[in-house]
Amino acid sequence: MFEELKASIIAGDQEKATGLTTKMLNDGIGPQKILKEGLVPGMDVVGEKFRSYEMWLPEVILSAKAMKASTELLKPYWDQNGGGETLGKIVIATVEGDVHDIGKNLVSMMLESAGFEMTDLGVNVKIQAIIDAANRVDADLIGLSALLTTTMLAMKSAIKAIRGSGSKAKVMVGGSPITQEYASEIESDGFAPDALRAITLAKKLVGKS
Amino acid sequence: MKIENFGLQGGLNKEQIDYMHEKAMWLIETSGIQVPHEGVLKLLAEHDGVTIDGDMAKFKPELVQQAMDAAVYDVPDYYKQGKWFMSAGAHQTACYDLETGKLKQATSDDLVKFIKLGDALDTVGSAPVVPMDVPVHLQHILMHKTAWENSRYRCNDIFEHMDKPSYECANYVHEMAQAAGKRFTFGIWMISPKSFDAHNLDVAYRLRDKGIPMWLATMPQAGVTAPISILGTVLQSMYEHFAGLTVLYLMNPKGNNYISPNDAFEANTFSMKYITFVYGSVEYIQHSLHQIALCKYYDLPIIVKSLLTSSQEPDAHAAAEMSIHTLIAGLAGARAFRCGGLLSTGEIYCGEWVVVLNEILQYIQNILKEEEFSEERLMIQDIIDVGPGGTYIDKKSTYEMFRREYWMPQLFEHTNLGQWLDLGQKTIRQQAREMAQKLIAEHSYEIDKDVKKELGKIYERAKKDSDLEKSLKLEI
Ligand code: B12
Repeated sequence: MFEELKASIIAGDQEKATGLTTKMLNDGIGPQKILKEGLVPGMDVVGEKFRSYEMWLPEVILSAKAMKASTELLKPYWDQNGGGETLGKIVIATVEGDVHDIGKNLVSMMLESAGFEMTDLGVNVKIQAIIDAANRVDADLIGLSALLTTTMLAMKSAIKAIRGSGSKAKVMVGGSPITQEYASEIESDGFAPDALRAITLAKKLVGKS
Repeated sequence: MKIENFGLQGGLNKEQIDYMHEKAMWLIETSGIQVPHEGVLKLLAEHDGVTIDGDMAKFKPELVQQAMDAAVYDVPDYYKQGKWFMSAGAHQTACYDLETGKLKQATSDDLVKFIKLGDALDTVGSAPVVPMDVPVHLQHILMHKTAWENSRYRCNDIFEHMDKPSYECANYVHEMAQAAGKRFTFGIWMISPKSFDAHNLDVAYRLRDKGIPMWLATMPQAGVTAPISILGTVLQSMYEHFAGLTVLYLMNPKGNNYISPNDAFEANTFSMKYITFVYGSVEYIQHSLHQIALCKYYDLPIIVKSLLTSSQEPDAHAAAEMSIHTLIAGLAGARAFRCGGLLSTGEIYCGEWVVVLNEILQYIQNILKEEEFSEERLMIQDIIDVGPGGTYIDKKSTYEMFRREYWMPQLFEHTNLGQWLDLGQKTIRQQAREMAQKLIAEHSYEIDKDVKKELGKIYERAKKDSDLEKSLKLEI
């Protein structure tokens, strides 16, 4: 049955995945086991196939939705069994002066589906608002997106300000004009060129890879 | 007598566009668009035919039609004459260095060079690169100034689409435009689906009493901010264009409000494989054909974004996409082609590539040029005269007509191997770079000295204006 659940996640078959999850729970199988042996291995395959460009975004999103719906079903059981925490908390925003949010939205969506708790602050966000939100939710990670070169340049001082604020959150950056070289130069904790690689990066940064 | 012009059959027909038009109007009336600005909402609410529902504005079709009918598209003479031309560059911050060929950040020196190069090749449009070596609040002002000082068409007709990122910046550019007798407009970029950038809208709102021409653009992306089908995205684009134009029409009654022909009915394509934005793809070319059909239907100037690619380098990938796109658009009736010099889906500017594109454009133009059907060109007497073993090479007709009958490329030379070796085995890129350097060195147009002085004074004032600086300073 675990193989079947894994396959339903890969196929993005939400109905089947949630049906199987419910059945397993009813059969008394622990949520940890369902997650670790069925759902997560399914999403791992999806991730690999996405990385090798075999599966494309809409397919991955469908799988992620099936995964999310199934994990929702596990939630009521966590309290009894423990272990239901998310991978980590991330605050994400498009920086001040910039309204480009298509990429940031996709990154946010993918991170959420990977199991992170997301706080998306939207576009044109002042750095102080990002710091405040990170403190409020006790974020592990901050994601900054910029598509304009002007706003990209402002990321450098944004990172300084975040560090200066005493926030424990690590900072990852992205957006089409940004390169690994630039991300290193401004001393960010990481850079990813697309939404999929943002998941790998975020997991690495929170020590969950 | 002429041989009939080549053309492309097919595409959206009148009935289909009628239907799309009707649906776009219906969507505007029933779904409306979001207007995230109190002041603008208030202005809209004063008009008949407007329904405000929260921050959504809905317009009656008659009102939308009024806005569309009121729009004036003041095309320049070269467009009216049906000349083939290229619009080159827009806001690139990275460029290939013209001396070294290496990728780097653009500077004010590059800006001057690329504008001169563009002018030497009669290109039009916006300023090609952003001068990253000057402070942010001066960049757009300097782009206008440099364009006006060193070129005839740039930032100076309906084919410009320059950004003015703050009210203060817009005022400086406006003042310079008046001093130089050049065109000044303000543009709105909508946020798909169905909304606006509140800041962008606010600048337009504050400029509304000055009689400034305002244009509207939107860039829905198929599968992300618009439906996955190109056709659905084109419909959403029509809907957003017409609704957005109506907002401008009601908000800016003293100015001419129009759809920017530069992005009219834009429907962007997206790669689900690489999760990224794509230009130059098969679907993007299909969209261009719909766009041409729509521009003809609505009687809008036609300019096609055929000079775009997702390739990072000036290479075969770029050349193939741009040539095919331009040829097809040309066959469909386009004579104006946009985004020359841009690589990497619009992120990088390449000066020598503009030279290559100029050649590609001439190449295509010459394939499609009108051909005379005449006794003179059938040359029956010559065929009779030259017998077996004879030659036409010394014929008077050959001497008189060879330059007319053959197009002589400047870059895509017809050398044989020996000649090519003899000429130094230069790659196309090398040759284009040399040509670009020569064109820049020989470029002579300059704006009137007094006007230049005046622009310099305004720029000096801008440099010291703390309000301007604040208006674009990112608060960190
Ligand atoms: C769509 C678009 C718009 C839309 C934005 C709509 C929206 N809701 O976002 C509109 C029309 C509003 C717009 C406005 C403008 N735009 Co614009 N726009 C684009 C365009 C065509 C596509 C961007 C996009 O959505 N890409 C698709 C997404 C999925 O890709 P992405 O953003 O790169 O995101 C991926 C990765 O980068 C990464 N990523 C992104 N964020 C993050 C964050 C983290 C933490 C991580 C890890 C990863 C990550 O993952 C994403 C998914 O794989 C680009 C062209 C281009 N080549 O990018 C120009 C472009 C970005 N725009 C540009 C400009 C100049 C403007 C304007 C000034 C107007 C103008 N004159 O063109 C205004 C600016 C408004 C403002 N103040 O921000 C320039 C920027 C030049 C520069 N480098 O400075 C570009 C490059 C076009 C150009 N050459 O002229 N634009």
